[in-house]
Amino acid sequence: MTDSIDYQKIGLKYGVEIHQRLATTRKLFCACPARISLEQPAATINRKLRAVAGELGLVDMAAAYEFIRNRTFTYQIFSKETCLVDIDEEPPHSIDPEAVRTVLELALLMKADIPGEIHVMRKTVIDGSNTSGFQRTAIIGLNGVLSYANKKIFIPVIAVEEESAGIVANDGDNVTYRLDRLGIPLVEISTGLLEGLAPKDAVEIAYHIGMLVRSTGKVLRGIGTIRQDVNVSIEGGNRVEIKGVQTLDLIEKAIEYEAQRQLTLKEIRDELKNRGCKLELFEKPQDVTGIFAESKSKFIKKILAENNRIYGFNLAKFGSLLKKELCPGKTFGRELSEHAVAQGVGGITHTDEDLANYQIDAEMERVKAFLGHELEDCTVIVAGQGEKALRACNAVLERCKTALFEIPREVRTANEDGTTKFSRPLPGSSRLYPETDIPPFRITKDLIEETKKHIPETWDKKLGRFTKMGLGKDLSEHIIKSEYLNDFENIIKNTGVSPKFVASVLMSSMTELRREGVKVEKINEEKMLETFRLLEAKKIGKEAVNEVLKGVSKYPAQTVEETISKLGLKTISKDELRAIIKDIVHKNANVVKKEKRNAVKKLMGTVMKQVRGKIDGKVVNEILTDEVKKVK
Amino acid sequence: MYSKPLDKMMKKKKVEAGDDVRVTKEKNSYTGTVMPKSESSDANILLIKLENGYNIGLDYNSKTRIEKLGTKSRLEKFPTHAFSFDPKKPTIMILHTGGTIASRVDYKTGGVSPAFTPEEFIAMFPELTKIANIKSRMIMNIASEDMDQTRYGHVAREAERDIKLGLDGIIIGHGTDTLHYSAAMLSYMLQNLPVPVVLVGAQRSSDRGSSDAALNLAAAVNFITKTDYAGVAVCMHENPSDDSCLVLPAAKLRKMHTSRRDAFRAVNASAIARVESSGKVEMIAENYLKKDKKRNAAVNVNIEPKVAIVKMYPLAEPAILDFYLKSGYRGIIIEGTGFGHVPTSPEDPKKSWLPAIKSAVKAGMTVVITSQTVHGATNKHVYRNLRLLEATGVIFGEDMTTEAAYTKLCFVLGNNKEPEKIREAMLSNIAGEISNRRELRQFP
Repeated sequence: MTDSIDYQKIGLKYGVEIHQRLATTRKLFCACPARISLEQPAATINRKLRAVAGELGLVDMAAAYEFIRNRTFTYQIFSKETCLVDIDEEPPHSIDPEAVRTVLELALLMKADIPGEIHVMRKTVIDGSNTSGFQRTAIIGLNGVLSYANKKIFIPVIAVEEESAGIVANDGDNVTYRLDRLGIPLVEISTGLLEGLAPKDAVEIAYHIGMLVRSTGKVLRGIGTIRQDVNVSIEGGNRVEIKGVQTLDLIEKAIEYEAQRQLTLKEIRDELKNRGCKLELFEKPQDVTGIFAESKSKFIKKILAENNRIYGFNLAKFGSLLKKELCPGKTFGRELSEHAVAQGVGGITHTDEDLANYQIDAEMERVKAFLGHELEDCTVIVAGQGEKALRACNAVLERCKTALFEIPREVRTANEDGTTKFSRPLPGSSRLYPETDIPPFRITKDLIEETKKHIPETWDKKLGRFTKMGLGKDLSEHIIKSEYLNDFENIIKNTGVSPKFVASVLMSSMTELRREGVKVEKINEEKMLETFRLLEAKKIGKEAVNEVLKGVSKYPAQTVEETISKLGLKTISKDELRAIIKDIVHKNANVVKKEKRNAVKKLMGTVMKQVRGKIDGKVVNEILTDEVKKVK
Repeated sequence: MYSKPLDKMMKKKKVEAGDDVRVTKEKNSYTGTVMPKSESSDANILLIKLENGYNIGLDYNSKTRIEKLGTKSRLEKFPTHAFSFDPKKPTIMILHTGGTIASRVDYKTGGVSPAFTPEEFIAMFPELTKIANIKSRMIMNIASEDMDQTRYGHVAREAERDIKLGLDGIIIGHGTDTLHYSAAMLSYMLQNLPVPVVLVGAQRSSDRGSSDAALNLAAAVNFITKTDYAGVAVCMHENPSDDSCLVLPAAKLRKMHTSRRDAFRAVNASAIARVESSGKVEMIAENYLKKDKKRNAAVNVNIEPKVAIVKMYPLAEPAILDFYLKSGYRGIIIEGTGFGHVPTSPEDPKKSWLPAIKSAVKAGMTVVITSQTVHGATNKHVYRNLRLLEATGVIFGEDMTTEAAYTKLCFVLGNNKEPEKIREAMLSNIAGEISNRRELRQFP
C-alpha cells in the first residue's frame, strides 16, 4: 500500500533529528564521569514532579499532561557516576567547555552562525527522565548546512544538551530510571522540515549526519549512544514527532507509516463529517459495572475480583471506524487504546472488534442498549481502578473529539517494526525557560579561531592517511564507517601495535566474537586501549587477544590485567616455558627415548595445551626441540 | 546595563524587553522576543528568545540591524486562583516573607528572586485547598539573610493578628538560609500559642517541576489539620525523596547543607512528627503544648539588636572583643571549640581570652558560650580551662545551638536589664531550646 503513495502529492514534510552522546571526560553540568556504570545501583530515591509555568507564564500543555498522570519516579543512584547535581540536590556546575568545543567544531564544520553568547535553557520534561523536571539545552550553532554528494541540507539548529536518565522499569504509576546516564553531553543536530523528498532520503541524511558527528572522534559508540527522531507531517495533517527510531533503515519505514497514518486519519475525519458527527453528540462515560456482575467471562471476572469498575460510553457515528487500519497492524481502535493505557489502565474494548474472544457478547448488548447505541455508533468500555478508568475514558473521548477536526500534534515512540505509539502531546515553545543557575558562555573570536584549527579531518583525508598505513582502501573505508573508528585512532595513537593488526582485531575479530554471542558492547574504549597496551608490553601474546576481549566483556567490572590473571592468559618467560617443557619431557621420558626427534611433534600438543596464548608457538617449538635433544 | 551603542539603538528603535524584533546580522536575520538584560550577560549582547523557545545572545555591532515587529506584554503573567471557602474545613493562613519558596526566575539578576502574588502562589498548589481553606498574604518580600529586628517583630505581630481571628494554624513561608534563626526567635516571641505556627521553606524554587515546596507545604497543612500540636515548628523534607517531611522543633534545628532538600536537622533533639506524602501524620513528640483555641498567646516582640556571635579558632585575638565593647554591644555569643573552649594560653597571657572576657562581663556585657561542634552540650567542669572560663562570669549555654542562643539573648536582653535576671532567663527553658538529655539516635 505504501508504494502507491505519491509523497509529493500528499505534501509530505519531514525533519530528521540526531542525538549523539559525546565522549567527554565529565558530564555536561557536573564532575561525574560521562559513562554508564557497570555496577549495581548503590541507592534509590523517590520523587514527584509538577507542571510549572514557563517564563511567559504559560503552563506547557505537555508538561501539564504528565502531571495529571500523577506518577512517582524512582531514581537509581550509582556511587561513581551520580552526584548531588544529578539528583537535583545541588546547583549545576558551569557548562563543560570540552563539550561546547566539540559541538562548536561541528557547528563550524557545517558553516553555522555562532551566537555571541550561549544561554543554557531549561526544557520542561516531566515524564521523570530528568530529576530537575527539565532538560538543559543550549544552541551553539544556527543556520548550518550539511553538504554531501552535491546535496545541501539546511541545518537550522545545532545544540548541546544533557542526556536524560535511562528508563529501567515502568509499571504505570511508578517509573524507575537510572541516573548514570543523566547529564552525559549530547549533540543535537536537526534539519528543518524538508519538502519534496522521499522517505528513503531521510536515511541518507541521517547517515551523513552520523558520519559527520563521528568524524570529530569525540563521540561514544555502542547501543543507545546515537538516537534518531523524525518529525513528520502531510498537507492537512499536523506535526508529529517520532522519538527513538532505533536503526537508520527504520527511519524510512517510520516516515512512510506516519504519512499513511495521517492520510487515514484524514479519511476518518472526512467520514465523520459525512456522517454528521459533531461535538454535541458526545456523552459522558457511565458506570456499567452492574451489567457485568454475573458475567462468566474470565476476563471480566478477573477485573471484578480486583475491585475495579467498568465504564462505558457511546461514540456516536464512529461505527466501524475503530476497525480502520492506520498503518500495518494498527487500527484506529488500537491507537485510542494507547491513550487509555497512558492513564494506567489495560486498554479499551469496543464493538468494532470481535467480542467473542472475551465472551461478553451478551453483556455488551445490554451496555449498548443502556447507552442508547444506534447502528452507526461504536460502544467502548474501559475497566480499571475507579478514578483511573474514568480518566482513561475521558482521554479516549478527548482524542475522538479531536478526530472530528484535526490530526493532533503529538510525540510518538517508535516501535521496532517502524510503527509508533502515542507518548504525549507535542510540547510547545513555552516549555523552554532560562537556566539561571548557569552563567552565559561567551563565544569569543579567539575561541572560534582556535576551534577552527581542530576541525576534524574530512573523510577523504582520513582515507588517504589510513591507506598510507598500508591498510588498503576497502579496509580503510570499513574502519571509517565502523563504530570502532575512535578505538582505532586511539590505539594507533597511543601504542606501537601495527595498524594492520589493530584493524584486523577491530573489524574481523570483534564481528566473530559478536557472532559467537560475546557481549562486545561491554568492552569500552578504555579497556580496548588497555588490551593493546598490554599486548605492546608483551604481557599478553597476539594469539591471546581474542580470549582477553572475551574475558573483558564477561567481567566488565574488572581491570584488563585482573581479567588476564583470572583467565591465566598472562605471557610466560622463556625460563618459565623451559621449566614446563622440562617437566613434560621428564614425565614422558619413555616416549622421548623411543621416538627421539619425532617426540617433538608428539609432545607439542601437550605443551601447547598448557601455554596456548601465553607465548609464541615458534618459541615453544625451539625450546621443546632443544630439551628433547638433551635427553640421551 | 547595555553597552552605549546598543543602548542607543534600543532607545532609537523604542525596543524594550517583551517586544518582538527582527535582528539582522550580515546575511542572517533572527526573529524573536527581546528578553530583559541579564546582569551576567556581556554588555554588548542582545538576548532574544527565538520562536523555537531558545534564548540566544547576539553580538551587537554597527552592522547589526534591529527592527521592531510588535509590542507584546507577554512577560510575567501567571495563572491565578480565586479563593473559595468551605466552612467544614479548617482555615490556614500562609504568610509570605519571601525566599526560595516564593521565588521564580528573575531576569534582572539572572537568578531566582522572590516574586509572586499570593493568588499566583495558591494557583501553583491547588491540592492544598482540598485539605483546608487556604488564605495567603504577602507580609514582606525579602531574602532571608535580610531579616532584622523590625521584621522579626512584624512577622510575630502579623501571625498574632491571624491567630486572634480564630484561624486553625499559620504557615510562614520563609527563606531557608536564616529560617532556623527566625524559627527560634518566633518561638520566644510567640509563647503560649493556641494553635500551631509552622515555618516552611524550599531548597528548590517553586517555579521548578522538582520543587520541594509542594510537599513541604502539604505536609505542614496536614500536620496543622491532623494533630493537636500548638506552638512554633518547622516543616521540611526528611531525606532527598519526596516520600516524607519532618516537623522539627523550632529552637532546636539548624540548616546543615547548602542545597539539599533535607538540609534541616534537629540538633540535640528529635523531630516532633513525620508527615508522609500520602498525608499520614506520625506524632513522635510526647510532651508538647496542645491546641486550645481559647488560650491567649503571650506575644512579646522586644528584642535587643546589639548582640553578636564570635567564633573561636586557634589564632583568634582577644582584641576582637574591644570592638564590640566600644560599639555598645550588650551581648556576645562565643562559639567555642569542643565543650566551649576559648584560647587560654598560660604561657603567653596576651593570647588568652580570659582577661578580655572578664572585663567585658564586668562592663555589663552578657557573654554566652555555645559550641561550634553543633551537636552535643557545652560543659564547664571537664577541663581546667573550662573552669577558668566559667570564673570570668560567662554563661554556659547548655546544649543550645548558637542560633537559638543568639536569638534568645536578643530576646532576653530586649526585656531585661539586671545581670541576675538575664542569667536566670538564659538558663531557663523558654521554648524547648534547652534539653537536659541527649539520645543516641539524635546524632548523626
